[in-house]
Amino acid sequence: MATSLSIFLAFHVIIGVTGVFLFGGVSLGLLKKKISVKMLKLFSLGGLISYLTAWITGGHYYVVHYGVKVKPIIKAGNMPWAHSIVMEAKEHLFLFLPFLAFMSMASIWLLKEDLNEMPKFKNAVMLISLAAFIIGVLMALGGIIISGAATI
Amino acid sequence: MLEKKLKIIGSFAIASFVSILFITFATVFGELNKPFKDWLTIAFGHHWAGKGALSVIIFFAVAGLHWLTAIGMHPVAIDRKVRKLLVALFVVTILSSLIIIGFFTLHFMKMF
Repeated sequence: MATSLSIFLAFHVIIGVTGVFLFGGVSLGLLKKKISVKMLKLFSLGGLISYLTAWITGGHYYVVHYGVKVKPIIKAGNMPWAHSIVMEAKEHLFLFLPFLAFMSMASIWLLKEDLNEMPKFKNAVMLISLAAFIIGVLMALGGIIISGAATI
Repeated sequence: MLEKKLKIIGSFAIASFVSILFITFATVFGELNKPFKDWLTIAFGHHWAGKGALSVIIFFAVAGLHWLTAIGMHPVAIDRKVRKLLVALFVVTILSSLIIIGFFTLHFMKMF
């Protein structure tokens, strides 16, 4: 793999994992009785930007490079399921992330301190942030399996 | 003011709900119906990019339509309605994820 492509892929991984951490922070922050609006606004916006950047960089890698060079190696190797199940599921679940991240960010930025007065609503926003976190974790785990299958 | 903010969140929630359902449908249907997957590839350069682009278009269209047609409600009623929409969005996300993972597992095992 060319050095520039390795750096590009590493950037995709780092920015994606940053998004996962930020939405983990948003989920935990929303569990508090009195929320820190400043922190939640920062984390949710940062998480959305991270996921969108990971979406664009990962999408570019997948469309331009993966299908042509990596997919045939994995399918011919010992772990063809790494593409047929893990990558296929990962690429499509990946499409859910921007919507969930945007929903979480929009709810926090619009309602701000009002969320403290609406505990049930706050829990519902926490569930959306948690979904963005869980799918982000699945993306990271899927990436590890696919990288392993491509190098074996 | 709060009612207006909740209405915006409600419009985005229903739009996200429909977009996630569309992605799930397009993913499964695209694997079972080759002409549909080929059309996505021809129209958008790649079937994955096609599903992504169409889901974004659907998101903005549904959010806009919902915003224009939603009836004015009391803040307490709209709070309950939007909260239920967010919970429904969480449930549909988990179910759609399981459908996609389950489908590709069974597809690999040649059961579809």
